[in-house]
Amino acid sequence: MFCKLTKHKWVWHVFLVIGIIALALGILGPKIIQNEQQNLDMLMGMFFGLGIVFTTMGGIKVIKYRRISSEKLKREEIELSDERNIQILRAANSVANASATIIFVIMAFIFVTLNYIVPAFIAIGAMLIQSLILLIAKRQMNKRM
Amino acid sequence: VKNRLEEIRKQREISQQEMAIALEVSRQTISSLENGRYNPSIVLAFKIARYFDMSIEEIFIYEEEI
Repeated sequence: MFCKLTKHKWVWHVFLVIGIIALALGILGPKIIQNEQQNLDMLMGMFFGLGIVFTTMGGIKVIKYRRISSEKLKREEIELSDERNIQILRAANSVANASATIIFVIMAFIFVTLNYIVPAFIAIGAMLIQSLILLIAKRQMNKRM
Repeated sequence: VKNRLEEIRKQREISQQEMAIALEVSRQTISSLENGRYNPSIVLAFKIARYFDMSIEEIFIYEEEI
């Protein structure tokens, strides 16, 4: 899905806008919200990090698409829509997905061992949601094909 | 699925790059097809057949596994 989206140039403008919003939230958030426990400050720090990633990715792509020659752009579009590349990406994604499930299970066991019950439930919950999404997606794909 | 891509392409003196541009795929895809590491989708198989003005069966040979 992400691969299909990145074919469109406008996606990178959206990335840039989201990045700038997240950056602004990360910088201005701690100044506006007064929080003694500092957990919101950490959250704003995460927004700041996310903002940097999105702004950099979006910015680089937007500048690249403005400067790149039409021939190179065409070649890049071909690379993105190439059926073998898409198959490779799908195979890599399925490996990453399987690994993520295993990591969630390991995390749940580690959290229980350390007596971190809430994080353990979050890890198990994430794993269950992932399995649920897989079942729903499979069902939807089955209807389409 | 075996194919005669390399043979036909060389007969017609076409480079992998030229073929890749015409078929709108990457050069690596052409290379993988020729080496038999990758089997094309039915759409790409049709595109290749049209590009060479041949039938799919003339380019791709299906061999059943024993």
